Amino acid sequence: MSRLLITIGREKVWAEFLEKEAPQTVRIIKRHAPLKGLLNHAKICDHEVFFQTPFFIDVKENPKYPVPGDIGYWPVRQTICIWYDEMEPLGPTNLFARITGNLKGFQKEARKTWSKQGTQIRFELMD
Amino acid sequence: MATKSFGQVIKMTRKERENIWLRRSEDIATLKRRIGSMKQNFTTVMYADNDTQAMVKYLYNLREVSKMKKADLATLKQAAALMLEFDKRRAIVYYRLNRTAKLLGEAIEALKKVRTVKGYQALIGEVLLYIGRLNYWIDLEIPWSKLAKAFPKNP
Repeated sequence: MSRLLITIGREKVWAEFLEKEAPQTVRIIKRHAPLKGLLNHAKICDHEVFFQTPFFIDVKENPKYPVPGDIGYWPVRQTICIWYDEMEPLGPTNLFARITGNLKGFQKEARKTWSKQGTQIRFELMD
Repeated sequence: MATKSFGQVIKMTRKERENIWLRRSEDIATLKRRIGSMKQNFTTVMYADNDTQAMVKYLYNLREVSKMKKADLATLKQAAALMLEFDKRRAIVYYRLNRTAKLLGEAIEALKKVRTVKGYQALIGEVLLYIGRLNYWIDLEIPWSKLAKAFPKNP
């Protein structure tokens, strides 16, 4: 199982790729890693932050309603979305990874983006 | 002034997007100076946010429709040109998004040179990525948290 190191603000967080459920999406994300972005906060769905990718993923894989800790790709805006606590998502999204380490740290930093958007985020491959 | 080739416009759009990926676009500074009705800037920024968000949606949908087997390239080109021309005008007159307006103008010219669906997708895709990034920069300028606190909640 390959992993992802996420740096959000001052926190380091770990996630596992869903390689069985979304193999093509994972492959594309890995090909473009490391990814850097600035976080925007969701305005309606509640506890969600996201950042844009400079590429398209044109496959529909593993479309599911997210739960806290899930990471997905939303093709309409070419964004990586991270749901970090309770929320009401627009619909199923292509989930490709899940936070497995330090979700609390992610929540702490992500929550701050509601009042101060633009937090830096970085996705790096771990192994 | 000589018109740019299709390839040059793609490259230029990509470069503009890369320039604003982590560094605030120059257009944001001019947008913030654009005074709207009753000498304020708030509605200008909010409208620019709405318009660029709408652009993202139609550009995404144009790209999606172009993937369909029976997609008619001439109609797709015309639809894109009409919408981009309208938003180019708003970008200049309403929002002072000068670099964006220039880029949209180049994209409209490049559309005329598109001969294949693949070329269309490449051009629309680049414009979409750029406008998406610009929209997120505009979003960062809006004090959502303060606005939300000040907005009356219906009991």
